[in-house]
Amino acid sequence: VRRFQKYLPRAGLACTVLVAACETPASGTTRVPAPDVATFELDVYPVLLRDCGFPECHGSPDRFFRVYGPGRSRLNKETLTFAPATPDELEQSYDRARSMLAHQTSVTESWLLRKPLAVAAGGAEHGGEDRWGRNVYETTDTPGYQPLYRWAVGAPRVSAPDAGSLR
Amino acid sequence: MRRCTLLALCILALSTGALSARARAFSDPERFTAPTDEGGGGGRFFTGSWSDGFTCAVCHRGGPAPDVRITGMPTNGFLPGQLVEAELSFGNDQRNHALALEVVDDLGRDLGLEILPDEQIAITERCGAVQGAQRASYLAEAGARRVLGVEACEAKTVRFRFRTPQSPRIMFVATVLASDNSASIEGDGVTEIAQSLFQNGKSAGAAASSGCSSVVSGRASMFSVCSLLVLALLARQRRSRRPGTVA
Repeated sequence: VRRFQKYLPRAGLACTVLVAACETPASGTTRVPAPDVATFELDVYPVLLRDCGFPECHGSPDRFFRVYGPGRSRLNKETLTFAPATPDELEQSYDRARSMLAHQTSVTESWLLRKPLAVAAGGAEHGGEDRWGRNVYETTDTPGYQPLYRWAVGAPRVSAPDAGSLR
Repeated sequence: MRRCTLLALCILALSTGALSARARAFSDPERFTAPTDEGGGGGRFFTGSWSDGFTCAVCHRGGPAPDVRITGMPTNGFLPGQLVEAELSFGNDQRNHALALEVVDDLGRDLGLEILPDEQIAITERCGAVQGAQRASYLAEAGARRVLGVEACEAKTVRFRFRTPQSPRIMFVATVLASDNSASIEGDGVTEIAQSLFQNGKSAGAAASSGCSSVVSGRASMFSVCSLLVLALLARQRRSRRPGTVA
């Protein structure tokens, strides 16, 4: 079993590459947008911490998409759990979120906007379902989804984004 | 003079250590409503309810799930307007327990959940299960939600009340965390409880699980079956390659 486990990460990576390759049209060009950093830190980062960055979820080193910050996984293990986010944590979280916006046709097809969204609402399969088998956001109108969407598409920042209610 | 300085440094180091261990705790009631960029839950109490479907298991892991006993719930059916007083017991081992629970109707609305007045609570509901100590339970309101929490201060039980509604079904959800007092998320166990209660005993269902949700458990078991099949195939191939084995 140990021998088998040793190859699991590589097998996972190979599967990811295969799936990505299958979904990539041969002539397509991948675009990676660079949305506003300040908007990310003010509106998107708090939502990612609240809904994604748990140690068993996207705070885990087993996942490509990771969010680091206070009360969650820390980039540097020496950082106190509830100390404010460090510049490195903000930068890494931004970079990884940004890379999840890679797309070929429209940013709305990117993993960051599709993975946490229910399939019925145009989302994709996601391991991070809650105990009722639901994805993080049930519709594109769910308050937590809106800051992600607005940031990704480059919409102007709203002064007080309503990310209050959970669902 | 030098001895005094050393002593002062030692005291400072010890108190800083104690403070940082305390600061790691996520059981302070205000922590759940604090903004996430300050390390708070941002409104998540991790009860696992319909409106807050994640539980403590998204962070804590590695320890055995605590045993939880529920008494007083109308599992054989309820009448509208009935006052229910229920108790959760969770202190069967030496670990430190915390919990968050909600009782909601069909639409996820709070049923007026109450904790008992201080003069009525038992010793086991107090921190350290000691006479005269402060109570471990608290009520937190977050929008339309009302969450009962128990701080990790070595209480053993909690009692609460609510009045049954007109709706045909109510839902009781709770997440109980058993901490190994390591001031980290490792080595902690989680028990998740979801209990449906029906009016007049029309039908009833209860579920208690630990760790991940049943959906995840289902996947895990499918993965285990697949892994076993792959392992069996590998073992068969290896056996057929082994010298002296007749292929």
